[in-house]
Amino acid sequence: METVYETQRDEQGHPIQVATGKRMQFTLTYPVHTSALTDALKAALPGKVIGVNAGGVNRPVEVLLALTATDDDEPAITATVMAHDPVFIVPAKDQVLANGVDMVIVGINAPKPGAAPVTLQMAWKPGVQPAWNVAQDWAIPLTDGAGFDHMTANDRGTVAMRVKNGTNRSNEVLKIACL
Amino acid sequence: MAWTVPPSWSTSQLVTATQMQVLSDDLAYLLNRPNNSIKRDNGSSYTTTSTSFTDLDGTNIKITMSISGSAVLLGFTAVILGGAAVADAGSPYFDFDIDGTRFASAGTDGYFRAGYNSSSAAQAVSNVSMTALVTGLSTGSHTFKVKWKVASGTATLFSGSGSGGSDYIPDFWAVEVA
Repeated sequence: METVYETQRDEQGHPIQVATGKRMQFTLTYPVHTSALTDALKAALPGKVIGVNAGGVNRPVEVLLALTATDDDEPAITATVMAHDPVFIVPAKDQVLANGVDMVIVGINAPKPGAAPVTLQMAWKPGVQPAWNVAQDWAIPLTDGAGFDHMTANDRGTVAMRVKNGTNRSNEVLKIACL
Repeated sequence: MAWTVPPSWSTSQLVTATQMQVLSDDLAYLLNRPNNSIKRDNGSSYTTTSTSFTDLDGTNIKITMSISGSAVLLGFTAVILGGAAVADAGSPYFDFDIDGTRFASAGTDGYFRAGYNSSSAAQAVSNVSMTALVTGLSTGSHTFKVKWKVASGTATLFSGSGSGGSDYIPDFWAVEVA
């Protein structure tokens, strides 16, 4: 864990180094789901995580921390990053005709070697919030971390989908409009 | 070749080749002032959830340049995933960093903010295009970088993903101007 400094000016205008936070870097061979990893880190270390900075496999993953983070937090941070098992949901389109024929191909990318199986939850969204309590499971078979399936619709409305048990994997909710 | 202060002249002075060479070298310097342009193909997009300013890429989107004057013009152009369903989530703030100091350090929100589509739940691309004239620099080496942050959500800046629709290349450049 290293401290991050920013140069500021004192009252006399002289440059001074001010600590603005801390940082840990990890080199991973797969891209991270930045927001899911951030949520997992914030849950593990409440009040100590500023965010995550990432640039694909070509850049280290940076965990930005508050000054209150200490070396004692490193094991929890490392464990959370190492447990991160990202899942990216990639629908081919965000609309489908509600005629039972038109289809949307939904792709899944789980790039971590040995990624856990992926099951999506699909919820019909008649109101403001998707009805996750009656959501339908949709297992997507993976081959080398990639898989896809398709969906059709018979009724108009919105289908929302997310990764089941998505903590530290994916926190996104994708919506398909059925027209 | 660095800039050399030209000689002063007096009436009927004998001009030497050495003095003329100074002028010649300085003209050459003016034609080819220190400059750099980084077109970054990262092979993947950059993302951040950081709510405090952090380097966009402190290794690859960084210019170190030795100048003879005191002013440098900076520019940064990129395409981001702009819109978001929830207010301004994921709409990033940007700033330049000069030797560890943010250009707009007087503002906690920095120098530039990318636009977002507040009326639509659909995410859409948006542009980042900012320039700054940095003055008051000392002669010698300086390091320039780009910083970014979000208020909430996740920001995505495209940098050569290789996939159509997100395969944009950001450009960071600097040139000494005075």
